[in-house]
Amino acid sequence: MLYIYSANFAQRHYLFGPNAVYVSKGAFNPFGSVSPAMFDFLYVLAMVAAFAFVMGLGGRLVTLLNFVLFWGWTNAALLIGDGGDNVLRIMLFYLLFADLHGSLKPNEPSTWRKVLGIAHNLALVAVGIQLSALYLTAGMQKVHGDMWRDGTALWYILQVREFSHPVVGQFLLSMPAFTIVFTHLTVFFQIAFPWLIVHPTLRRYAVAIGAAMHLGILAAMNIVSFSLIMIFLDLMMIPDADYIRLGKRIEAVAAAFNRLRQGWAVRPSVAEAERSS
Amino acid sequence: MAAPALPSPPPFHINLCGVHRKGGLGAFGPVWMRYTVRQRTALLAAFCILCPLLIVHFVITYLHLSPLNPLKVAAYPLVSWYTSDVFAQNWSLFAPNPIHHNSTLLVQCRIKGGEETAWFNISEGMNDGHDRNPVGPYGRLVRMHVTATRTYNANADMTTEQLRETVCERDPDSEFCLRQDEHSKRIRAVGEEMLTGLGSAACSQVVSPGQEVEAVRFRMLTHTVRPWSKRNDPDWQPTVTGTETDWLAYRKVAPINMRLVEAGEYD
Repeated sequence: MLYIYSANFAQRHYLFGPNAVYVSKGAFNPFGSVSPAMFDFLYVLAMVAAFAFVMGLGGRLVTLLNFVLFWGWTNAALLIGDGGDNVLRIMLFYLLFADLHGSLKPNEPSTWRKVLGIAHNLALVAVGIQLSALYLTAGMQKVHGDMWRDGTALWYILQVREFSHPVVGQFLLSMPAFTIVFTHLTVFFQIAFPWLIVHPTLRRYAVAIGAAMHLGILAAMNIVSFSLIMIFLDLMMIPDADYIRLGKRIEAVAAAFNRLRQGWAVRPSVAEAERSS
Repeated sequence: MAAPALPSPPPFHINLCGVHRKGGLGAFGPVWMRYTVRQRTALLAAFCILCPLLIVHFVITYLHLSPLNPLKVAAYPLVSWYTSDVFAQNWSLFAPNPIHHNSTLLVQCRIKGGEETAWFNISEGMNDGHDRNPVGPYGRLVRMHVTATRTYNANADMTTEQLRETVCERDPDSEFCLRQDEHSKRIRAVGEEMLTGLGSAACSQVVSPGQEVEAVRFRMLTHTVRPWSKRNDPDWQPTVTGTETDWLAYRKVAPINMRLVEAGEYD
């Protein structure tokens, strides 16, 4: 969100303000329905809220403020919005009920905090179901399309200027066979995602494949914010214990690397000692 | 009385697919019997309220996302109300078939007094900026002309378009098929407002100081992309087709400094 707000800061009045290219009416749109000065205040407030959210400051109040402002922003940004903004708005609503700051512990003594625990778990279940709904719908709708079935979808997408990186996209186009493979893999993965994340071990692979796919979309199709949002949401499916285990593994590899480096550092001096003896 | 050291067997145990357990659903484990009656009642009440809410929410979401079916038609008023704002969602994401043409938006400005300017290409500068710096603002600015054009042509959501296809097969002259129905007209009006905004901002930049823009009009061009079957054909050239709008009244819009290119013959 901080990236989205910052990247569009210079042309915020043109895109989202009360005198914007298009001001959506009817839906909740605080940005388009205030004076230009108040709009500036709201925009900066949204950036501050996003920053505080990223830094883990302000607890649930900041989460709520961040959700409300981003919800308003998505309605102000109809002309330039995408699926990433859409899914983030919905996920931020679920996360209002989650314990994002790690304040809840297992077996909380107070009844209220136990209830918060239930809400937290259900919020994460909601995130999982929403992600599954997204992937399954995207995959099932693709099955209806002949370009996805005959494997040429990516070939066509990469020729559309808005969705093609001038170097990476063109490079892929020079290898048409790969565009067929990636087209079919995308459909298979999207339909398989909901079933893969049910299993704790398969879930890690599903998240890894999802992240790789969205990095590919970022590089080849030049779509930055959608890809990053999807990667971050996929990563939410990995439980804390796995992150701790991954951290330990990285520490172990780093320690082994350090030992190796020290070994290399020692070796010349050993050689010198041998020479001098 | 103190809590027993070893808890009795749990009445039931819920583990929702190993999600992060933080005393919430995990509370239904072996420690359950140690809770006071008040705590058990509060937890069961919370669970019995939140779980059905979650289920109802996702049933409606399912109906919102599913293809047109009798259940969706029956529940349509509820589904469309519930998914009209926060929970509106669309995961078509290049489906059923991805966009497979390039589009160009040209604008012409009419100055007070009747003088007409040359045609300017609005989309080229955006596309060029996006190619050079995909991380910056052009990543999104580049979509404006596509969204505005699609909306002006009254392209609706997938369910409506699916329905339109069915209707057009039976009754090609119906209002709905020709996009002359009330819903299509509303979408077209939104598209017209978007186009006017884009053109007005561009024309403000084109005219000399002291001149006032009175109206703007557009050419929406579509360029075909190379078909798979012609991938090795050196003689292949894109076909360009397009439509032109009427003059639309100028509207004052917050300025933006966009790169405008005078339109060439094949733009």
